[in-house]
Amino acid sequence: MVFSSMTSLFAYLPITLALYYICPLWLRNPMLLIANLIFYGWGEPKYIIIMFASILIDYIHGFLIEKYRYNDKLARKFVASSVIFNLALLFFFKYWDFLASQFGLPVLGVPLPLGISFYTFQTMSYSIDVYRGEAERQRNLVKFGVFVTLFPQLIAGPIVRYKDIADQITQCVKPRIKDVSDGAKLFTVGLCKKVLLANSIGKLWEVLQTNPDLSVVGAWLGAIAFSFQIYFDFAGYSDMACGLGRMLGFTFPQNFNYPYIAKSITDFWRRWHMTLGSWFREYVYIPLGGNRVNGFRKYFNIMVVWALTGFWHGADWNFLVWGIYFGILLILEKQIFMKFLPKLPDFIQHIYTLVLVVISMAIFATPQYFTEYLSKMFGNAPFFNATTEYYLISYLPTFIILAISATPLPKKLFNKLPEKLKDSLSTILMVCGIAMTISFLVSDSYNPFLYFRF
Amino acid sequence: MSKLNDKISVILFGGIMVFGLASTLLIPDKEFSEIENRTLAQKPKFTLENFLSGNLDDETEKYLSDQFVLRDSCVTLKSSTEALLGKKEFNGCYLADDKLLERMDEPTEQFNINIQAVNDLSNSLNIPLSLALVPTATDIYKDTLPNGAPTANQQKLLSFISQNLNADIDMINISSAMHEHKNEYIYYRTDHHWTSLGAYYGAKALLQSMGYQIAPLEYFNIKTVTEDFNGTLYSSSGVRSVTPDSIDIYVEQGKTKVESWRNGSPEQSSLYDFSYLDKKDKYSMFLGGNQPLAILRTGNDGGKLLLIRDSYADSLVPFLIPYFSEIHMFDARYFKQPLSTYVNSQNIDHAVMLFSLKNFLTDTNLTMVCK
Repeated sequence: MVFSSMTSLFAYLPITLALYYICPLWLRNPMLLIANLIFYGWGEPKYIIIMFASILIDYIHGFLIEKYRYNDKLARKFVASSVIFNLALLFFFKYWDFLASQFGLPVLGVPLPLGISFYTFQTMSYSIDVYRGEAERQRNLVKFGVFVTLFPQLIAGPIVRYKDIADQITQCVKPRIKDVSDGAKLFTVGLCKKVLLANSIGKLWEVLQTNPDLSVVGAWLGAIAFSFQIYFDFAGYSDMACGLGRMLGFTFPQNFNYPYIAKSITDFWRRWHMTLGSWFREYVYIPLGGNRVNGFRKYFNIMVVWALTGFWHGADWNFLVWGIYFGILLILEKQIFMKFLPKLPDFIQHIYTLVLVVISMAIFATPQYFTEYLSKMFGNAPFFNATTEYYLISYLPTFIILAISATPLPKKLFNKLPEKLKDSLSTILMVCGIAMTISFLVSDSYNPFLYFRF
Repeated sequence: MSKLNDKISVILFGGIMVFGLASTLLIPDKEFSEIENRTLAQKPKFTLENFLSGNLDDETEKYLSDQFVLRDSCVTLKSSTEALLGKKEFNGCYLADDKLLERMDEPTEQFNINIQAVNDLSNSLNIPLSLALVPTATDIYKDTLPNGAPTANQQKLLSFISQNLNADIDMINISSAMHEHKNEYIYYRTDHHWTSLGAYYGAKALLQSMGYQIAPLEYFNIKTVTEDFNGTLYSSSGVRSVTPDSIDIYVEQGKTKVESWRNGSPEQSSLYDFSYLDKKDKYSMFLGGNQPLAILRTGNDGGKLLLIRDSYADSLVPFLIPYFSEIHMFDARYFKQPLSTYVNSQNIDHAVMLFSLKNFLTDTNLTMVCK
């Protein structure tokens, strides 16, 4: 299930939240576990079994790692076995078909379980953190199950590490009314980003990506449209997740921090999908030696991390290229660009970053034909045509709204208001936001889920 | 932030969701949306089988959005927002020159299948077969669309069809008749159908191809039955600024007897069912809307005509009455009998397929009956 659906808004969420608040504290975790499983199994019930397997196997690993804490050799083996189990799960469902088709092996055609890239990473971090002593093992199987399956962030992040919410799960605190209210507002902000902003511009990308007579300007327009779509879609999901988390009494880490106002690619990646970046830093980059190694090894580490980051987003060549593209840019920035880039005027830094990001998004968005699409962006097409003119004109106001919404400006303006006004205004805006999203959802069938490849 | 304000927020947030769920469950479901001219999704079956197959997800989603009480207001709110944002397309409709023009998508493989079906039909019939395809208003008023607005080229599609039809099929050129009279009120502004005047010009071309001459316009006693018709495009687009349409009737019931086969047995009905004028779906006034089979016994001399129809035929058929003794209106979407069997059993003399081009591109039932 996804949050931004009628089923979730009109059935799943009211029922789940009502039950959650009615339940006595001791019953909340079991209730939440069942609700999580229903949420996950709603679209593809057979994969609930993966959830059970993940819960049990990772629980046992946590137990064994702690039990043999003083036999480091053995404990390490259990960590390795946990990592292997999770990666094997990911490999089988996500990468087997792609690799098999490259090497002529049998393709299985198994559908990708929703969110598998997110929850395998979360459970891996659990075993590693327990081993490192950064988190205590969860003794209660139900509570551990709640961590693995926690529905707000189950299918599209943010990637929550066990230690981030360990206390909240163990203690099971009653959420305060302020948390519920703030959470509801944050959820609504996310809902609006997804349904009003991402879906609206997504329609433009949908028509442009397969348009046979795409012009150069049209190809750029398409890539920009997709860049906005994926940002508002993804950041919207993260906001919805964080908002719902808050309503249930959890605090999830921030996942996006206005990435499109970045002044360099390095800066961009500190603001984009932050929980993924820190996961790779923590569990891949630093263990490889990070930047404390010399010369060639340093670049090698960066490239490994970015190739993996790219491949994590989907099993296809373009995602690998996308990761490598960023790896190269980051090395270039580190070694050369950063020596002069910060001295240039701000707007040049912004344009430099945005152009490179838009190109990257064009690679990201076009799995089977990214070379073809890029060639159109770089001149292998007529420069401009009537279709492009039509789309440019009818989407221009939308683009302006999207651009403003991608900056901190609306928030800054809102914060300038007097405290009293802010209170009531935020409530009014919340109601309007929900009404608008429901209107858009009801009257439109276009509501894609972008992360089915993640 | 004050505690009271938090409480209000929480109550409102929960209230909207509970309202959505409760209103959908408590208010009886509608089967058909007259406004949108389509059947609405019904309550999904909560069976284990349905759940395990993953269908329940899809069905619930469709059910909740189709049966939401405020659905019509939602459509309006969305289109007003989009109009405000300078969009020119509203759920597949362009607003151009106080008219709603439906976008036509490029045809799929079904298009070729349907052309083949018509050819198959002509092979299995031993009476003359004509094909009359009505372009939509979007083709006639193409020059008023926003520059570069995407829509399939209907003229190209029509000529592709005529090139691929068997030589013995007479393709009637409705399109040029429509283009010739484009300055007249031949299509509704808010609905996808042609007006009675449009149907008159269509009938003129049709009759001409069969050797008949339609009476001149002056001959008809035209009656306006409503001036407040907001059609299907009004509903689907959500655009509310277009002038409502009026519906005219040209031909009186006279001595024509209409036999409607709605549920497998004949019922007496009439050319016009005026009760529809009080409903939203006013175009269904013609013959009382879609039905599997309707047989008109005109009391006139002449042959027996089989009209393989869609709803465009309902407003055209009155003009054909003087020239035939019987007109059989056969809807392939609802009446599944091989046409050759029907033609032989009813001693039909001439068969005409009359469709909107748009329906012809997408209809999936023709193969089944065209044999």
